[in-house]
Amino acid sequence: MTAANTESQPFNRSRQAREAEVMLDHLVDDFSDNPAAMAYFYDLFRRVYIQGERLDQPDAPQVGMTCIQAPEELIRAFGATPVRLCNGAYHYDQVGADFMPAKSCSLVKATLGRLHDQDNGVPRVGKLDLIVNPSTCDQKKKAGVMMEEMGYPVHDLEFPNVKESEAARVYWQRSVRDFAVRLGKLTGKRLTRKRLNDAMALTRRAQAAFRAIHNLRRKGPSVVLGKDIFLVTNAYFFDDLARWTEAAEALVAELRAREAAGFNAAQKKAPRILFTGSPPIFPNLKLPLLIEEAGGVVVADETCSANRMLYDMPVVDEWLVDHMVDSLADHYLKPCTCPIFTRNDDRRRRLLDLVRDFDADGVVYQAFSGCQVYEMEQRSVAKTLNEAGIPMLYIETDYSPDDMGQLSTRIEAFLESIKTRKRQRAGGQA
Amino acid sequence: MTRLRRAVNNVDLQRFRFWFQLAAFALLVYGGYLAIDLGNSLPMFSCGYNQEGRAGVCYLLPLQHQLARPWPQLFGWAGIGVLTGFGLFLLWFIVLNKGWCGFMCPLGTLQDWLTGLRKRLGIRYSLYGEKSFNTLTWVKFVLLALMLLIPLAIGGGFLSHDWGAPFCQICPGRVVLPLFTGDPAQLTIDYSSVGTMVLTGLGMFIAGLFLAGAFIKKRFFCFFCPMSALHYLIAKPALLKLKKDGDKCTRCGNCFNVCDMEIRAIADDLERQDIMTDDCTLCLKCVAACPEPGALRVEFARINIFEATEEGFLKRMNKGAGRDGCKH
Amino acid sequence: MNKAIRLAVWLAPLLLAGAALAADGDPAADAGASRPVAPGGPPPADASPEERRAYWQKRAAERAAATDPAAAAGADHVHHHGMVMPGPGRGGVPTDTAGHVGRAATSAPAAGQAARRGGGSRDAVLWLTDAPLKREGRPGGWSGAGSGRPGGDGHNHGGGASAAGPEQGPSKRVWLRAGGNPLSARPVMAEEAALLQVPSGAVSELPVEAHGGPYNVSFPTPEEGYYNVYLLRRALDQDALDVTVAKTEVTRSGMGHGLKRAEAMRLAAPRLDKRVPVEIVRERKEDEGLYTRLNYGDEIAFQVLRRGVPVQNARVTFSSGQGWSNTVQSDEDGRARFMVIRDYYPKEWRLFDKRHRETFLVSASFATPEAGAYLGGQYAETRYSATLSGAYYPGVADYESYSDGLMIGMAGLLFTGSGVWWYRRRRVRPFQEVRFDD
Repeated sequence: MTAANTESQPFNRSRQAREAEVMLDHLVDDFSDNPAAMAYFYDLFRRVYIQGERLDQPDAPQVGMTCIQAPEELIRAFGATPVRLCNGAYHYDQVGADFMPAKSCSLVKATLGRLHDQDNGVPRVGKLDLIVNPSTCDQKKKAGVMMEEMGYPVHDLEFPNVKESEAARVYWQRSVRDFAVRLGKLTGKRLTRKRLNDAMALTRRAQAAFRAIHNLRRKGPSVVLGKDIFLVTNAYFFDDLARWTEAAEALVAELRAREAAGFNAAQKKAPRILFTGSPPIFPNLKLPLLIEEAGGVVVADETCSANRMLYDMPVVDEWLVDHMVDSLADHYLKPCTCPIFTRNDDRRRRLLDLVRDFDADGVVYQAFSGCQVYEMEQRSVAKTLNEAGIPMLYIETDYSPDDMGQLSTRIEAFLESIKTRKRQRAGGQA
Repeated sequence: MTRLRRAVNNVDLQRFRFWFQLAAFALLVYGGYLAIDLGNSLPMFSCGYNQEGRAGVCYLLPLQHQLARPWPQLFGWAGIGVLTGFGLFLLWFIVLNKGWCGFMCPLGTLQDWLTGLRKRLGIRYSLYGEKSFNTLTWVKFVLLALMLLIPLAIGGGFLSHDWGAPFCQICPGRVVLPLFTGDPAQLTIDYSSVGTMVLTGLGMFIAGLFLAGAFIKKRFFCFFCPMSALHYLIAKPALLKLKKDGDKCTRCGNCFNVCDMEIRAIADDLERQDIMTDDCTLCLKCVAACPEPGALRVEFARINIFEATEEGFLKRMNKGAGRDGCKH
Repeated sequence: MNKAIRLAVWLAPLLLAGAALAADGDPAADAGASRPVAPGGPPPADASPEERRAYWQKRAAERAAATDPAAAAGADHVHHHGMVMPGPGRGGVPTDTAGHVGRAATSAPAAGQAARRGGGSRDAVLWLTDAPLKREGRPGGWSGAGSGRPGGDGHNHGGGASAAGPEQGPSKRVWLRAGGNPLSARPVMAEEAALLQVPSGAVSELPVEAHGGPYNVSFPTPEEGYYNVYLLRRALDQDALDVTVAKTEVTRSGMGHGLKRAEAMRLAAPRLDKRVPVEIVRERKEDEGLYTRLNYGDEIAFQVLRRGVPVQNARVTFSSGQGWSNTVQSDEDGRARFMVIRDYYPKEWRLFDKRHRETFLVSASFATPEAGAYLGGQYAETRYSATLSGAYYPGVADYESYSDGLMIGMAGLLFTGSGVWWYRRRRVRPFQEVRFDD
């Protein structure tokens, strides 16, 4: 940890806090007519990221997750609290650069950087009793050992790289069961039907709330801007789940009222954008912010920090623990469109489906430099979107704020081209 | 979406099915007492050996008897009887397609009750796994072929009449269903000839196998059922169909997860619209388990009568978990 | 592959239909299916009645010569009168040129007296049966192929099976035999017309054309139910009138369509005809339907009736298919009860035929002091004798075992259950590795 942050400054004067504040101020103040229900979330981020509010719960073990592919319902069912560790701060990115090569994923660097600051890393969750590290992408995989060297106990959750085969499915189910055993040892509790049922019900309620929001963005006029929804889903990383769900449901109610009133949160004829690629995590909501400041509106996303995390819902046929655990495992593997798999048919179909369903005008594809898998998939995704006649903007970026100017130019140009196309099409039809 | 449609899509399928199956069971196993007779061409196991109570006869019994006629008769005037019987069977079948299996078959209902018992006892189920599934799925076609060929062999004089109705002899329905009307006469081993000894011995063994198997594996027998194979071969003109829209499918695998028969194609196949396979019993659990609106639907004569919706999915999941009225 | 199977399923009915339309149907082959045809086959279809008679007479002579060399001596008689000469020691009716039944009557008293004396030959007992003549020469019962089908009540088939083709319709043939022992009873000649009572109750006469062979009548059986056939014979024997009635009840050949239980039970009810002077009625078993069979071990009651009125103290004899007999007196209701015994003991298990048919014979005789005149002669008393034959088969308990069935079922259950349990236990142990051996 660099000396700068251990100066005797109030927390909110630290670089990390400053960065968060700048972003949050942009997100809130650059736009008028923010939904009233968003006040809860703005306040939450202010408290946690800028004032450094402590989030730890001393009476329950805390299990850190470095990827959404770890089954959080299981963690809850054992009475532990899941904490998502993926981090979006440029400050931590710089700290983590010590551990990883120059051109590698900013997200993992930031995660490592944050973990390095055990006591004061933001969000301040306090002690982590276990970190579960699914073996998804290369960077995360190799970071596991580094986390161990920092002193955290790490559980390698074996995640398959192929999702089509039966062998992979069985392998993953076994992994999840082994993880359940590990959690049992950690918490000293038994996995009972009731606890698992309750945990799944909690998550299901949250997923239902997200679906409601998701469905409200399907048609124009947009009732809410994408930047707010990214904030909402980012809050899911660290907020208390019941509270989060209630706040989300309040937001849903407000958005419904807005819909009924025909309110438009974006400009008229704002280009509708589908955001895909490396996950934007607060405070790195750079691209969505730029898009919406330039007049576009992000109507849907295909990222693991938002849509992918909350959209799919697991099903249970028999309410017996063995089956419920396997159902959870299936839910985390089968609909996953992460690029770490060998094939990306499901991701491309999902993109096309979202574009069609949400009437998107264009796709913005963000890839962190160093994120090998997203960078490699760009080619096939571009081909698919091209064939479907959907314009795509590919942006390779990292956490540093230096390229914001250049990016904003590119984004504005992209949005302009979309508007032109729409005008031409409308003109051609007239 | 109209209120009726919404109510149908939100239906608690498990409960609906339970009551429907119970009513069908009562009708088909006890309807004979009320002099109900639906004929001899029923497309599911309304067992003919249940002589007192049956409300109609499973088509396979008369089919095997008819095919065992001497060849000059069978390929002569008696063939007309075979054709009319088959025609009537086809007409019955077309209405519900394989829904006869999932909603009306007494033997299927019995297996679902055994599954319910197992769930209550908290015993987990068993699965076949992909390789076993792919191998064993052919057994039903083999049984169908034997069921047709052995009676023909009898008619041609190659086998004696002791081999008559061979599938009925080994069918667990023959042993188990008459017990519901208090008739244990089918529980015997018939020593009068080698053929009957082998068949009745096999029949009793398979009955025991059936009870244990159906307890541990959902709809165990349906996987090997020659009636199911026969259904699939004539399923094209059926009115009730299970349809999939591959574009809306996220391949989340929920449908495969809940499928009693472990059909992978329902989750993995994105091309086919008519997604009912040879193993399917049209129990519609997959439609009830799908969270993607419109990805799976049930059509009757091209009219959409039941489809997957988010609201329905959540309602059913919450009910199943013991919580009603989830808030949106 | 699936497409090929589907194609086959759709083609097969078409092929059947084509075959049905193309086939002529072979009445001779069809008719011969259930009627046992002797080697040599039936006479040509276009033969005239005289030619047919000559043909059958020739065959009867051959048969007699084959089975009984002594009878070959009477071949001329056979040729003329078509009567089978019974061998010595078997008793029987001697023939003369007239072949007249009256002569038979003269020896009847001897037989009748013998019967009254309670012993001796029962050769004069006439009875009707639908069990066809045996050709193999082996005494005893009949294998199950032709007559009657297995199965319990109401075991329905789609479409009735019929011996003859559709152009002829189902029919039944009934034979006359003489001899109180079914094992050694012989077919006889007679000239009386038979009475037929169809299931609906109508009675008609069946004229029998004298063809020189054993007496038999054939009639169509279009309806479901019992068809009663009676042969009445009156003969004056010194000062007594012998009234002999042979009766048999047969059902339609082949299985019927969709008979409901209640209907079957109604049709199975025994019928009698008050015009017939004496008759034996078999009382039905409990819940008896139209195709219920009599099994070994069943206790059957027979009622002796004279013009519908029960006869007490008639001498009733039950003879089993192998010749065992039991004689009782009928009680005040005219009833005599007998147990059907098992007399079928094949040498090996392999030869056991569960459809093995034996024919029993029940004969009753009694005398009444009715007097009158008949054919120019006076008589002071009337002696009545009635017969009824039927079939009995092995019962289900003779070849089916509940305990073995339950044992095997339990074995299946345990085998599967323990298999699953063992498999699950094995899986819970550490993951098994795949290893290759050189």
